[in-house]
Amino acid sequence: MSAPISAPETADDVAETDVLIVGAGLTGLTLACALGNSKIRAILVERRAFSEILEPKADGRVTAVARSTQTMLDRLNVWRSMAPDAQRIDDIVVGETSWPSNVHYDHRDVGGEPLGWIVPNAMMRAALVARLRACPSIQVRESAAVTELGVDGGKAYVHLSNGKTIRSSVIAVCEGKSSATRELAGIGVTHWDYKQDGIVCTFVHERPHLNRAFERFYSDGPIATLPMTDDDDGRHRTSIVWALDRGRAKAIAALDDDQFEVEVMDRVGLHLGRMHLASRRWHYPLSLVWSKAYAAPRLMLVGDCARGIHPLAGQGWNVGARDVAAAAEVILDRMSLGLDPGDEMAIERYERWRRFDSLALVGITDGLNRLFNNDILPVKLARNLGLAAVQRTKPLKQLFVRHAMGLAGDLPDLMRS
Amino acid sequence: MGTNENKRRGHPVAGKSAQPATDRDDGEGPSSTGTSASERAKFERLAEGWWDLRGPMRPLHMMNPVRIGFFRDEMVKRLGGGVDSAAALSGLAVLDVGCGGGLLAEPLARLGARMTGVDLEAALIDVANRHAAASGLEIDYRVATTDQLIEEDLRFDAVIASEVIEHVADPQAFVSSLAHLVRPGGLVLLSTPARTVRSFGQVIVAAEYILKWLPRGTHDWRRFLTPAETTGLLRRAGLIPLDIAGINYDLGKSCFYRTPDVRVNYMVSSIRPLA
Ligand SMILES: Cc1cc2nc3c(=O)[nH]c(=O)nc-3n(C[C@H](O)[C@H](O)[C@H](O)COP(=O)(O)OP(=O)(O)OC[C@H]3O[C@@H](n4cnc5c(N)ncnc54)[C@H](O)[C@@H]3O)c2cc1C
Repeated sequence: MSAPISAPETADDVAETDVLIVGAGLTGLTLACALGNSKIRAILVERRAFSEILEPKADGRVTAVARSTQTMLDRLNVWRSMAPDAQRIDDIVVGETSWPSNVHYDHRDVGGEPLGWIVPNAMMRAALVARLRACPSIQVRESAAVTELGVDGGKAYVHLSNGKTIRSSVIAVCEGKSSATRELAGIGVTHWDYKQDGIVCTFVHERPHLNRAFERFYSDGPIATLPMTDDDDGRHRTSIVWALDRGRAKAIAALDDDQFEVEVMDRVGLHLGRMHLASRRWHYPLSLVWSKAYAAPRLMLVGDCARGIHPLAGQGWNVGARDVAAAAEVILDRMSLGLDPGDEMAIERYERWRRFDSLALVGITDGLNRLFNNDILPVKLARNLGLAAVQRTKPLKQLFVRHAMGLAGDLPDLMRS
Repeated sequence: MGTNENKRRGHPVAGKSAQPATDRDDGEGPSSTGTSASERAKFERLAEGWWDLRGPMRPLHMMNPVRIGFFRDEMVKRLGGGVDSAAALSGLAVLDVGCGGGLLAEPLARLGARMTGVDLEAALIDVANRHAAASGLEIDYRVATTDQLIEEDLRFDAVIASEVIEHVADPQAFVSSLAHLVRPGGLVLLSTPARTVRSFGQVIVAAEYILKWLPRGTHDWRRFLTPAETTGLLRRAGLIPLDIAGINYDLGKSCFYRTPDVRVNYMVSSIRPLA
């Protein structure tokens, strides 16, 4: 990997900018592209080396990209380079194999457009970094972490582990679930350990997936199959996200690949035909991290840093993407009026906007997961009846689908098609 | 903007015939060299208050984006500013009449305009100067009436009077002086509350009494002008009204927004014909 667009360090150890982005995960990279697209001056700081971030083996996950997120990525000129690896989803089937009352989200219910796309995280990163390199207003500082944070004289500043200081009108913290800068800002979090691990891996299989995603709930945790594009040899591919109680996850981890395949097929069913593991198996501990505020003076929390939720809904980063679009819009609006992008007006607007979206989401996914993890019969019955009701009532279902597509609520400009 | 301070002190802003008022209610003298320590302390408090987004000027800060947006858009559309949205007004010479502490002048300067700001309140010009210096902006602030600028034979690409006209003794004379200060082909831009029942309800009652935003008695409703009266004043001053837009407040989102509804607050653009 050639060196990313790092600015020539001046003899001066203090750099000035309009926006400081901390963290180059999907969130930070996308925000940097959004600001770069509007020629806004920003510095992106990442504690890891970019070569590490771009290493495909570092992240085996795929991201479910909702329509609104895709619209934004398209606007930012990054979708084009992801598109060859993006698998469209036409149907989502949710429920339990043993019960007839599956909920079926069908793209035909909402006008025939795809419900979303599945894109490997590694491809998203590569496309975003390539776009960043073409944005002259964005500078990158890699292998540098934030160690100190403060506000003075109408600017926020950070000290970095490499001894440098950056002064900025506003800081967008995109550090993911465990965020040191969030802590430095004095923002507390509500933390909930699901006592589950997320197992992520890729399978190749006999039969085509028909652009269909499945989510099935079992008493020890849900499993999702996310359709992927065929691999270079034309084999059909599916990504598996399997959340399991930690004890079970350990036992599963101890299985060899053949035994693991049997366990997975047992859960997934037969519709994909014979399935073979085609990647390593990644394990991620699952937790809910919900920030008590989304902003502080001259500081916005963006993405998982504001709220990291259970991956079960496949909504995780789509809400983060909405944070990105909202942060970009607030910053751009202020700057195109010659106003301070980090003053109280800007911060208040961001905070108010995000609080609503996040609140609704944490409640929904968390509730659903706990409900489905409960094996007491009346609860089980109630949820199946509930799902059946959703299945029968078309307008309600359309609302659910629109939510899954990320089209409900107060959409930021970048996400409007 | 300066007007708010003027409002608080209850005296008119410069009109063609209006002289700096003498009916000060607090006996404070103008800021000049050699101000006393207590006066300076007062200016400091004032400076803080003026730019404090949670302070008494909060409604103006909140309304500011809508006004800047309209003024910027009109200037870019009619006078062709820079292509870059971050420097949309580069190259334009703009006068802000009744500039107060600089809430409008600073953002416009940041967008590239060469700004001149005038206000009758020396205290406010002092606040404006110090804040601009702290923000690293160069703005030509002066304690002056429009007549004094006319005597200097100054001409601007655009002249703005935001929330001023409702406080002047002779609105027609005031608008005519603005017309004098703009070059042929340049713009005169105004914003002001409307004299309608809705405006009475929203601006006076809501802002001053219910929301306790503005010091009570800030606005004298009878002095407000209807949109038709304002465009009439502009025409009689030889200007051609171009566009009008309203400002409304969204209680749900707690923010102001631009609207075609001009019954509460409105902004007008007008052009001085070339010939
Ligand atoms: C098992 C699993 C499956 C998932 N599946 C899906 C899915 O299907 N669909 C979906 O939409 N979402 C899914 N998610 C969620 C999704 O992966 C996350 O929402 C997303 O990756 C978060 O991105 P982020 O950029 O906000 O945070 P992160 O990816 O955590 O990035 C944070 C970055 O900040 C850097 N950093 C941290 N601290 C500092 C510091 N102090 N200084 C400098 N840099 C710092 C880190 O090195 C890192 O690069 C899943 C999550 C899990 C765990």
